[in-house]
Amino acid sequence: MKRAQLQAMETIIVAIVLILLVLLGLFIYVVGSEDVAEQNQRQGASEEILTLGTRLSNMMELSCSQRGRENSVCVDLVKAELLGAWLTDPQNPNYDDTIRLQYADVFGSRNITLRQKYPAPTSNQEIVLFDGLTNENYLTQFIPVVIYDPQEETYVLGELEVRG
Amino acid sequence: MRGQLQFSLNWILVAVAGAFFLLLFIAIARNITETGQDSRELSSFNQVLRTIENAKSSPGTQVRASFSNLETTCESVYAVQLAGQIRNIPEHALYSPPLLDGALTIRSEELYLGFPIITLTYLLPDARPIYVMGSVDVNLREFLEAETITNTNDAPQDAILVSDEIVDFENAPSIVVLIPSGPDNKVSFYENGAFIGESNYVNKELLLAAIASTNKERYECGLSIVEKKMRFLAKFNKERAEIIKSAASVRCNSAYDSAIRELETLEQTELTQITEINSVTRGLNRANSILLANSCPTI
Repeated sequence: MKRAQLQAMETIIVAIVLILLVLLGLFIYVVGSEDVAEQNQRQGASEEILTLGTRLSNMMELSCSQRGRENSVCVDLVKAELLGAWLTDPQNPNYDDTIRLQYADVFGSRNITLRQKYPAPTSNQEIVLFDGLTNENYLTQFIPVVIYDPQEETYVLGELEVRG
Repeated sequence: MRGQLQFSLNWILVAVAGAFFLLLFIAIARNITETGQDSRELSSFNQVLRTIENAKSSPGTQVRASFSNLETTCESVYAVQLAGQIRNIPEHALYSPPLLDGALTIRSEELYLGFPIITLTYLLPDARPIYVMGSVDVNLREFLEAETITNTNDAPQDAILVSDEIVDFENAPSIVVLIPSGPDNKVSFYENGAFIGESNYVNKELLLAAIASTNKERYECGLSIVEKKMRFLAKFNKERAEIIKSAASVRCNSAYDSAIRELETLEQTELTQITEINSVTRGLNRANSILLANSCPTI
């Protein structure tokens, strides 16, 4: 091999190595940004769920009617049962697609379930308030609530499970 | 000859590598800028959502946010295009301008009908100044933070002019909301000097909504959303009252019956029938007072 050929080969090899290094750097950058994007997405979802907690506590369709309980999220059991049935059960005579769509704007693509925690319930009864979850890769968060039963006039502790 | 070829090949390689690096750096810079912009917009959007929620419990809440592309639709919800995704502003943010390319101000005002019916939150365009002409209610000026003018020439063309008298349309801004003085509670919309139409405003909150919407179609669309929600809530509360009544003590029955009758009336009422709504409100408050006095769960 002559000297000029060797020089040309050397230049090509240097260029190839450089390109490989840049591609490696690019790969690392892309993987890194995906991680950051995923982290941002999780943080965003978590913030949204916190906002949803505030929203639920202010919703007159769920909140307790009694005054003086503003400090904790208080859910009226009868309202929760009615809302859950009207929004998630197409067999219910009060189920309305338009209304469900309106609430889908509030709840988003999430499943929201209310359950009693303390005193421990005798049966595993829970109320599905909304079933809009479409994403298989979801986060689950719990919002502690006070559940008020206006029929029995009692208060118990519970939680809202938000999946989305 | 061979030396010349070698020389050209080297320069071609340098040019190719240079172009590659240049494109790469441009792509990285663009990606970083877009990600930053998306993240800022998402953060602003979440701030807006939180403010709207806070506004429900504290009327008068105000926030300024910035979106590069905020498009609102009237049909069902207000949609915002952010980070390539359509996000919805909850339906209680009822009145907003059709398209905002810059900052916006959110102010809230509760549509208080004596009984919790619904809360309105207004989105006002920050870039568009609001001017008031004539003897329009003082509180309204304060709420809108509007400048007072005596001559239409003093208002810029992109302003919203609120007036209670027929103005000189040749010099008036492109959007004029006219509140004729009189008992009929009408509000008229003018665009570029042309009369677009008039609507009812029934109370101050809805008048504010009319001014914030700046557009007859948007305002009436907002009204229909509020009305639908009001009827849904009336039906919902009626059903709840019936359930509680069945478990409550007999002494509570008459108050529940009276509340159920009022809620049935509300279910049939239109939002513009303010006298009817006020009467229902008084009835519900009376029923609630009786229920409280008898230690029965309220509506």
